[in-house]
Amino acid sequence: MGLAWRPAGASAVRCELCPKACVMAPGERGDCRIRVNLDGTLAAVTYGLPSAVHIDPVEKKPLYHFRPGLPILSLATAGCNLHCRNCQNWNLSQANPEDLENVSLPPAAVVDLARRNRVEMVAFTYAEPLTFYEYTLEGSEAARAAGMDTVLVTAGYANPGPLRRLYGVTSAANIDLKAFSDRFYRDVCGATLKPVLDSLVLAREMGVWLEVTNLVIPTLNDGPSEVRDMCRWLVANLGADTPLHFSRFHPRYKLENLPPTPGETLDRLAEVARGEGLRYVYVGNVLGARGQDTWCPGCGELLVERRGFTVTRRLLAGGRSACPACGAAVAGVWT
Amino acid sequence: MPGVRGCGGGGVDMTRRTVLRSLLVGAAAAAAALWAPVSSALRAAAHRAPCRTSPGLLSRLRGKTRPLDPARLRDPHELAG
Repeated sequence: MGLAWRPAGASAVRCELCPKACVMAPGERGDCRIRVNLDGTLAAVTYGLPSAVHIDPVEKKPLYHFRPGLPILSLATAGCNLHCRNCQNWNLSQANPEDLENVSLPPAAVVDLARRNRVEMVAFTYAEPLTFYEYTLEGSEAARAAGMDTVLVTAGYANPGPLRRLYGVTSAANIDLKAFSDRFYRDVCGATLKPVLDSLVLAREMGVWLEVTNLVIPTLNDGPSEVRDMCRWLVANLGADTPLHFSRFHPRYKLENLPPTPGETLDRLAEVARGEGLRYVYVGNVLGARGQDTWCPGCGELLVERRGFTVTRRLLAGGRSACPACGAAVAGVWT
Repeated sequence: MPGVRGCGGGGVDMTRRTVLRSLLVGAAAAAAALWAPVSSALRAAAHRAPCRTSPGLLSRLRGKTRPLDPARLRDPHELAG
């Protein structure tokens, strides 16, 4: 049986996981495609049945300030409550779960699989782990009970009650802030902005290590003015130490008519972000002198060098969280 | 003389054409302004997935279950995140 729902009369159910508040008659599924009314009870039918199971570098989430260089067992079922026209993982996120192959991997088996592969972290990612909420929650609980760290990679479009419970067993999160306009969220994603902002603030309040990703799409959300407003909000509400990842858009799904994001655009927006005070700004999928490396916010010393998802040089190790050159604190979890 | 227009007649025609043009431009702008929120709402509605589940959903799900191949866990893949 699922969580975060209530009866809605005549065997109907009302999901309370996200602001869409889908009401489903028996046999109907919600907007995310995986939460279904089974004879008057709501269930996430993909529980324990991931369609994607991989061991990735943690940098791929992307998380750059959380245990760099370590592998992470990454899982997803089908399902997403957004329908972004540019979705990079649409084959998984927008699929009906019964149309995809899956593996049987209940929470205890997730922990066992990680252990057998000498992996100390588990991530729920790729699609929208908030929609397979029960699996994400119980998988995270099992992993934490086993002494592992847990990571959530999400668009953050959920109600605070379920989020609060999940954050309680989440070590780190990467949350997409896809744009800083309601119009973008409505027109491109089928959602709204404010719940995402609330999710970001809640993660910070509950002490989840947080990094933010903004996928830059030419002509849709690449305006410096909007990005400036977004960065000001990040600094004011999450803190200047919140890492921000600008990610390059590649034509995909329903936005194949747009070009990939120029590297110059990403570099320009990264400068806007640094100009607003954000100390750790990264550019994804574009190799550059400053794009993927971590530099000391105090003296500019190179602290972590990355090439793609690989850490090639690292001065922060063994729990050291201060720059070895000047002693400035460097935000993150460096164990 | 019949059929000959003076300057006053041509000026009235120009004014009428200008007014008509202005009205048309204004009407087009108003239509665009009215259509924008409608278009946005339609697009938002189109994002919503159909609600009906297919028959035998759970059995189809179970029928898609395959063994996990541990040897392929670290294979490259194209999923982001």
